Amino acid sequence: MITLSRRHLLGLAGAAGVAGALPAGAAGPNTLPAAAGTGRLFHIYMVLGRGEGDNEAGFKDYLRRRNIQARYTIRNPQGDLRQMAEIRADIHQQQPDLIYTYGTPQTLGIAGPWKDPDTADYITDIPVVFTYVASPVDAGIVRALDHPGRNATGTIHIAPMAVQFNTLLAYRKITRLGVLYNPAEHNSVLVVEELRRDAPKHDVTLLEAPVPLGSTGQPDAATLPALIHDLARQGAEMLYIGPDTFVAGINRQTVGMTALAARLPTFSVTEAIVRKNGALFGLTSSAFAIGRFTAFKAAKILVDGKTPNEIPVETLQRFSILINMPTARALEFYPPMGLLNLAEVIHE
Amino acid sequence: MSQRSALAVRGGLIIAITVGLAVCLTGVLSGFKFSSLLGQAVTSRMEVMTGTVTAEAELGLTLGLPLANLVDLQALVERQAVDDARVVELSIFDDAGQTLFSMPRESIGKAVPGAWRVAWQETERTGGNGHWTVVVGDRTIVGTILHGPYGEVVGGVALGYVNTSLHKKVRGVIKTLMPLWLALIAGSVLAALVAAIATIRWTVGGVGPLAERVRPLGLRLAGVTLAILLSASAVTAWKALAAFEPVILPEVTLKAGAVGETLTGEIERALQYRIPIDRLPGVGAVFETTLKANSDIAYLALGDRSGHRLAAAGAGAPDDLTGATTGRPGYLVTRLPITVGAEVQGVLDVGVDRLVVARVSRDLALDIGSVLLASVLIAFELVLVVAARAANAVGSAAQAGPAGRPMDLTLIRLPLFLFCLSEEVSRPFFPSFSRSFADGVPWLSPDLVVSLPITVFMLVWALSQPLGALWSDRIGRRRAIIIGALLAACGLIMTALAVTLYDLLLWRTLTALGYGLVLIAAQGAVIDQTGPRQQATGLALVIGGLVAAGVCGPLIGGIIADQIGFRPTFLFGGCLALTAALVVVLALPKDGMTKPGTSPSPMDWPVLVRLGCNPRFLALTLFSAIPTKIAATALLFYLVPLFLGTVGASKADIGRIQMLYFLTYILISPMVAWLADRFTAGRELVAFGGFATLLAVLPLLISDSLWVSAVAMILFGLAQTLIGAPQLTLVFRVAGSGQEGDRPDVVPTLGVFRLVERIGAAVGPLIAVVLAITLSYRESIIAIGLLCSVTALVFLIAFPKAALPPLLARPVETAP
Repeated sequence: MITLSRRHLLGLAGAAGVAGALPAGAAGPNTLPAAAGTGRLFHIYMVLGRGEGDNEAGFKDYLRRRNIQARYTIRNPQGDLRQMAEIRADIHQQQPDLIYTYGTPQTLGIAGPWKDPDTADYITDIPVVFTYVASPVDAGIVRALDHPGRNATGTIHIAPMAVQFNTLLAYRKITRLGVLYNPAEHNSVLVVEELRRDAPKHDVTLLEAPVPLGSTGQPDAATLPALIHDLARQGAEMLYIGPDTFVAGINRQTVGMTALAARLPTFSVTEAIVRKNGALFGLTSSAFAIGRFTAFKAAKILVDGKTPNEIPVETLQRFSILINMPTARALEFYPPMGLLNLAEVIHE
Repeated sequence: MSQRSALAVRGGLIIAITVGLAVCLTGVLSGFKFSSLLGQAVTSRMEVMTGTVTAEAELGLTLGLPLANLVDLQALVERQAVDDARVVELSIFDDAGQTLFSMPRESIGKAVPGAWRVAWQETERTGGNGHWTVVVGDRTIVGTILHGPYGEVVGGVALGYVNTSLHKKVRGVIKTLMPLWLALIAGSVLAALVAAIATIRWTVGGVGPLAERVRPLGLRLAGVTLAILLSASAVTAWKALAAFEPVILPEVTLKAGAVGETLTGEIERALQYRIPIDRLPGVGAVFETTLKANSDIAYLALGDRSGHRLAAAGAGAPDDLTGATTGRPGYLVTRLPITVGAEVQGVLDVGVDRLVVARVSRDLALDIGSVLLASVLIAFELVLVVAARAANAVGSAAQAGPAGRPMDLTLIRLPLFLFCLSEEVSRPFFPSFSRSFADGVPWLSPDLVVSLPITVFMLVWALSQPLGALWSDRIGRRRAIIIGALLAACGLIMTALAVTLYDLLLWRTLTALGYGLVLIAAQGAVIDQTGPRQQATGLALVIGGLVAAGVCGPLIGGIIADQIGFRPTFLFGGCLALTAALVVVLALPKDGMTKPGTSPSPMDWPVLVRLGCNPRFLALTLFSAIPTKIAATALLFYLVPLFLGTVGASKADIGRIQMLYFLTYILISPMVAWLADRFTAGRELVAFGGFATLLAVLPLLISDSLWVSAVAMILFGLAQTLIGAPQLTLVFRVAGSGQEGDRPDVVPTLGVFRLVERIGAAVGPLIAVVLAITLSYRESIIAIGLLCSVTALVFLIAFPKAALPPLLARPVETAP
């Protein structure tokens, strides 16, 4: 189950919390002040990955509700990293109060690696809050999650591996888990390493199916159906789909439908394949919630005068459980009542 | 003989009044217990509703929407609120205290009352179980805290209900019980009167001196009193159970129904997704979780359309659900259909144990038992006073001795008992009470805040002894006792009203001053009036009162505090101290106890110097007296109550366990005194007591069970008793050894010894807090035990076994 120890997570929020800025007794330690507006108009510079979405809506909504006035400069390079130098130059010139970055490539493109930020004209003097970065430490963006060690902090959209395992095993106690991933994606490889490390703790055997890379180093989509059927034949009881652009993004229709045909229940950490392509269930974070959480951290910098180094990089404490009920019925693999009570159910 | 008749009537009246009061108290306790159980049943039914709303709201928040946008909640709130006619409002409010969704709708957009906000914030700050409660007039509000997806507080849920019908029910039940209770009280009073008079006449009626004949009186009267009390109280409590059960059971059943509806709702939701009812996994696990949260539900069972059992949890669940719900012996069963559309797909049985109310009676039985014990002790105490007065009256008439007013001595006993009771009633909860002031002084650790008032009390008490003795010499014992009692009463009443740690410390200082003054003046009065031999009996009388108060106080205090709270209990203590002062004013003759100038001051400098050079006296005080007192105050007043609190004991439980210490002391100390005299084994007994202190607390290492703590407390009392009497014997011998033959130093030596001992008592809590900061409470207790055994070893080495002068008179035991 995803019910993490609430005291623990409150402790986290409390330690970093907004209470410090409030007179004692004026509000609980985790209570957001209704009106924290300073009357100042902040300039927030947003560097996006794929256009404005729920993430950004949640971010803006949070600040609006706290009466924090902000004007936004939106840059949408559409994944074209060649634009980054020009954007950095613009930022240096405009000197915004805060920079918001979406995704690992954009964040690295603006803030650079923490180890040698001076190699390019990376932004090291303006606070950066990032979101939708799966492993900021491994990606070299921050030194450590609790103390980023630089001018950047932010939010992670993937649930911790322990929580993922708990959810997966809450659905059914399985012993053989198949994982399909693209070895060319750094992100995916990191997740599979985590799976290898955690699986024995839960008495789960991991069956790995890396997608073969062609002569150009690109994964071959044609091999996907065979890989999935192979996993099913090897006795995998569930299929794990990580934050893998190739598997869970581009080829999610093939993956979802093949798994269904192979009667392999699929667990995913991203939403789309569960909502649209017949994966059985997922543990995902709502983009809106992540956006609000990112804004919560931004507000600490803008209003409470904290530095990014004082603000830990965190993930949500409660994730959405998504269950695709038609798939559950097709597989006759029904969710347990306890999980169902916490889940968002996709009917048809 | 008129002397005999007067004694019989007086004794009988005392017993009868005590019995009447005790039976009355039993009735009040039963009433309290069952009506609070009824209240709990209603509250937990309401908490099921707030729980449902909270769960729904948090599920919505997980999707990332702000609370205000979860507009479906308005419909949910309205649907829930009509479920129970007692609900007058059900609201969801945000972190700013603004009502977002509410039934009635008029509240939407308005700020929630300040009292809710305070309770909500307080619960959030202190953790707890996440539920908060506010009572405003006849309206009770139960609430929860709403958390968002990253653990942040986004608001709360509040449900207000009116429980006038509940009060009406309780009043109705009590009204039907009243005639029976009154009859029982009258009957037991009459029976006690007759039985006590008969017992006294029979006991005193023989030949020989009256003083000899009254000796077995106490025990016989205690037996008679106990027998009458037990039967009357048992009937009282049993009738209360019988009268309350029909009112409480439907309430519990109603709540069970509410829990059942939540569950059927969840199962129906699953069925609406077209999961076949017999293929739905995890039902048993959900049932188990539900049972854990609702201890008043015995079992949950899910059956299919034909009653075939699919899942169940809890003891007593039936194997199939085809039978009638009324036919299950021992259970009240609520059967709920599980329907999808119009079609019944299954049934859910919620079973409530019929004995659920009776099970709560175990607690009640313990409370009543404690009341009975306290009553018997009080009756015993009072009868002894009367008997001693009678004996003394005869004796002094026969002797017409110059000692003057031995009667006055026995008269001290009652006010002294009341006075000590006033302080003792707060013992079970004093540490918790102090802790509640910790928030005001964030720079002090909560443990320090707990021990500080206790330390200050002990310190002021110790320091007040020499000064109090001198002062009471000057102004007279009677006046000193009255002033002391008034000071203490004032201190206790102000303690009840204390706002911060600082003024709490001030009021504790005042109470300690009064306490010290009364005790030293009373001891002085005894010494004034008696020769060396009578002094023993005299002090025994006083000490008996003290120890009886030590037994009754925590018991009564624990029970009262559980029912009406800490602060009112302090007020109660203040009233007791006032009563004590009043009794002294009314009963003690004005000049009867004033004999200025004859009492030896405890600060006799030559004696002090001589004792300071006496290695035996030093060994005795440093390695036995001080560690023993450290153990007594550190464990009894500080570490044990706190430790018991952490293992889940109620205040009444803590009081009962503390009482065991004193009870052991009363029962064992005469035997130990006899042993020490008979075998001159003082030195060995004192050392053994030190080792035994460690042995006594060792059981706490193995278990959290309250029974183990009780055994440890008895053993600890035993160990302390082993030390107490022989220690005093050794003091007398050491003092006697100073000058051959006569014992002019005995009284001042005792004074110095007591002073030093009290320093040990004062530093005990300080040492306890230092230990508790670095170790757990359990480890701290063991550490104190270790301290006692190590110093006992040093004492054995430092106190040579050489022959001591024989003891002339057996010294008197004093309260720890």
